[in-house]
Amino acid sequence: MAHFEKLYHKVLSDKHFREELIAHPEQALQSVGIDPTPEVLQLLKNIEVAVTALEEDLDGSSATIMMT
Amino acid sequence: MNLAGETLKWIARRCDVQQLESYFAHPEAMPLFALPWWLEKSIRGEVDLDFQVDLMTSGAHGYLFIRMLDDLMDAHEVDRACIPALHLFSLEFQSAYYRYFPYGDPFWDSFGRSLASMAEAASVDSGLQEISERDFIEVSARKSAAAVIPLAAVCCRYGRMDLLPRWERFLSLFAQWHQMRDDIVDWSEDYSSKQETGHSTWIISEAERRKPPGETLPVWMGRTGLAWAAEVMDGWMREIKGLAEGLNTLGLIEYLGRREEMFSRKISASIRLAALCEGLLHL
Repeated sequence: MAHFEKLYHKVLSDKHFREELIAHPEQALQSVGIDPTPEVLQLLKNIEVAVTALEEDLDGSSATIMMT
Repeated sequence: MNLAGETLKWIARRCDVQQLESYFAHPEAMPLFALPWWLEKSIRGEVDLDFQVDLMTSGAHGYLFIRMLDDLMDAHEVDRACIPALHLFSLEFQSAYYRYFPYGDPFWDSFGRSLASMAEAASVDSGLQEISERDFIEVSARKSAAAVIPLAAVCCRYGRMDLLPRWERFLSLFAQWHQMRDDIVDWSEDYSSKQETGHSTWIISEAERRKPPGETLPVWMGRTGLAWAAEVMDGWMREIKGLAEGLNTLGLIEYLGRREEMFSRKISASIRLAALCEGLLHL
């Protein structure tokens, strides 16, 4: 359970880890001590599409302050 | 010149020194340059560009002084060779005002009061281990008190000191929102840092107080904490926008709308992400 809580924490807070999880899921899971079983990989697949869609909102804007 | 080179290296760790203006004009940075601009425009309908450039010069150096001091207080790495830059940051921060306000001018009372308030808040904050809501409001958010100084300069220059209290009240509340926003975005980093330094933020302290036994802090943040923080921020922004309505500046109203929207999108995305990841905790 502790490993999955660590995974939860990293997905929630670490953009680079999220990118790694999408690009190289087995390696990313193993880096937090989780065996990349078909069940886990399927759950990640379900998350992946939504995470990608959320990434722009998670990142924020790149415009500057307008002084008018 | 050794000091300049070493200081640029320190600045370069934070931003692109070739485009320093982008750092200060970042949409989620404290609007140090924009606030006195909007205030002067609200008084006169236009701005004195030379005056505003002097305020920006002062503001940039004041910010760098505070930034380096914060790094030193937080035991972040600061090369010894660039620490004497503090003298020059301080000089450029203050001397920009000499042209406008001679010795004895009431501006210097505001200057001294704001600086002292910020220094006291930073000193108290450095010793806080667990932070209550009251600690946060009275101390943490007051670390931006020096941002009142260019506003006081505008008010003094144009004989409108009557406006300063409402701008100070606005800035105090907005600084609170701004600091909380930073603490929400950086919660994970601050949580890790707390394990090493013992220094906390309000949201981390609140998470430790509120989370059920057996639930880790990161899990509480995902399930409950982010939504709780979003509600706190909503309430504050309603009050901030109410205050801003009375300041006679459309630029500020538009800015607040953008800040609110940016934060709302970011935290809503984080909450949705946490909900999506809930399944990971049941494997």
